[in-house]
Amino acid sequence: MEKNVLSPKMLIRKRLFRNKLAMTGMFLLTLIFLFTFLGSILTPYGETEVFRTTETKEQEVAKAECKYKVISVNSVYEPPSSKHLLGTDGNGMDILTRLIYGGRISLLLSISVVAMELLIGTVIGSIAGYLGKWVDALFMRFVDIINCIPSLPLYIILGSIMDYYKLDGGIRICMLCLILGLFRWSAVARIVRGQILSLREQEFIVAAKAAGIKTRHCIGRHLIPNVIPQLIIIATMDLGNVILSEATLSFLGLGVKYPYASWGNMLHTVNNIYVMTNYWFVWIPAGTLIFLTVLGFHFVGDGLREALDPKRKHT
Amino acid sequence: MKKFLFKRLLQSFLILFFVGLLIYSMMRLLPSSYVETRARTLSQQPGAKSYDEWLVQLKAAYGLEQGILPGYLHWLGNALQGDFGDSWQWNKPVITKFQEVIGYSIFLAATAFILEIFLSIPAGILAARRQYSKLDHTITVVALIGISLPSFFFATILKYLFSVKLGWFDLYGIVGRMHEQYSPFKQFLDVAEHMLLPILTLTITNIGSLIRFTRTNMLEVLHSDFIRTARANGLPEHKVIYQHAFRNTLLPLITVLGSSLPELFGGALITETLFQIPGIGYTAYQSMVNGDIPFSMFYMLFLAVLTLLGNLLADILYAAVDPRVQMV
Repeated sequence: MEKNVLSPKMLIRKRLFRNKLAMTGMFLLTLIFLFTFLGSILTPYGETEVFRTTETKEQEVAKAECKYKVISVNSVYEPPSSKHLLGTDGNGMDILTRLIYGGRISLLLSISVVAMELLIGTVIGSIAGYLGKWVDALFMRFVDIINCIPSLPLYIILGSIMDYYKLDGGIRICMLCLILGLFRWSAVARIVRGQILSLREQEFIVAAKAAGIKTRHCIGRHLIPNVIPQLIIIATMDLGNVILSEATLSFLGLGVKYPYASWGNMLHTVNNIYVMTNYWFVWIPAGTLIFLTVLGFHFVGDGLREALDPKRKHT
Repeated sequence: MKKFLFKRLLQSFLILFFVGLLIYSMMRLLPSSYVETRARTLSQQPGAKSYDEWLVQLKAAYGLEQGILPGYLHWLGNALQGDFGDSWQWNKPVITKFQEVIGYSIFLAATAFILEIFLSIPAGILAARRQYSKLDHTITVVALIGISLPSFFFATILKYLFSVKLGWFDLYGIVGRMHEQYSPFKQFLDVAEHMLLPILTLTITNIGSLIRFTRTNMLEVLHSDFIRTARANGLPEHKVIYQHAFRNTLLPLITVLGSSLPELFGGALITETLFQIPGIGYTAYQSMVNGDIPFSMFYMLFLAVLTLLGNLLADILYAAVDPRVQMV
């Protein structure tokens, strides 16, 4: 009789694919990635293309005793139509197109921030955990200090400093990326350190050491691979969390700035109550996309946690 | 125990010292003309001191003529005596402004926190008891939705639905137009009504992580041997769950309570700002955006102290509740 043998990797994959939540999340994320990365081919408009009105809209505004005639040149806040599927925003730009480009910035930014936090966190955590003693104590106090700095106020202050210097939008995005990455790695460092502290005492490391392995290789080839499952879970969840942070900052007007689009700064317009109440198509799609993307990452992360958990019942 | 406390306290102070240094250096990185600009705007306010006076005062108050480290020590010396300087944004001592606004934040955060606890712990336990059932999946999905909702978007939707469409609440502010004419009891009701949407926002967006946390810990406990023994002995299920299992999930919950200290007293920055609740979060936000260095420094240090205090509190409570934990 043929026995059905499954490798651990296959088991994990099987468990993950059977998890409806994780699959829903995966589906959501695939759609969103396709939308943001291939959407720009489908849309005929550019990110910062401004549309003029064909017919001059004249509006009479009575103010005190005078009467003004307001002639709008740009087609602002145009409701959804076949020409602009989601209408136009306050600058007369196509909202659907800006959603596509904005999403790309949010996703790329979040991926690079998570890559950065994983790199810094793993290096610091593994060195501290492996070397122990005073190195460990020193590094961990450093982690404590980073952990203690309140992140949101810090981002707000740095954002307004960038405002003060009137930095160019492109540089701002890079800076944002750097700042978010530099202050997020403490959780990763703690987890890596904790894992390595317990792994360090196990036989396979003792054997590797007895064989005269270099410290660098011992950490890189034997210890880090054992932490990777946890890191994958954190990374997936954090991809969502970074998108949330970026969106919050952009929403406050301190993150990604005009003329660049981002889902967060598209929601910035709701601070104008008139826009919020009268033009739902300006802010609801952007907010929904942020929500769905973060939800997708959390669903997948949760599924991974269940699938990678060795204690789980094998049913 | 005493030795442990002493060690931890010493460590906390050391960490605080460096956190302060880091924040201070950052503030010093602000453009140097910044203080001059501030002095100019401050001197233009009605009834303010002259430009030169402000400039001298600002430079002296923050030790700007000195290097970063002496300047920091100078600031720290003042701060230790409870003198955080005058806020540039609010034109009064930082501490006075802090005392004016902290009450709103505590009221808002504490109410939301109590609601969170009462909703999320039973939900987490329920989900754990029926692992992989429909109920468990529903609770998990609700929790993840709560975690993923951007608070600013959720708050805006609430405002759109309840303030604009239904007209039940004011869009923002803490009191209504007729507030002054009301009796004290009605005044309280007025404030409470204005707090309703912010509390709802906070509760929904924070509830998720607490549900997940309770569920994970409860599951771990339910799979342990002593629960099996209790069941084998024929103990009624509610006794197993609420007397034996739940007590053990209390332990990790203490850590969560400790770490939510900054949330409780530090104000919900985004929610307060969106609803313009004049709590510490909204005040700090305005200060930070307008470059009010004294208040921002104070606020960030205040949050750092809360974080450290929360950790310390969690450690102490942990040892007090669980006799297996030894403090070394």
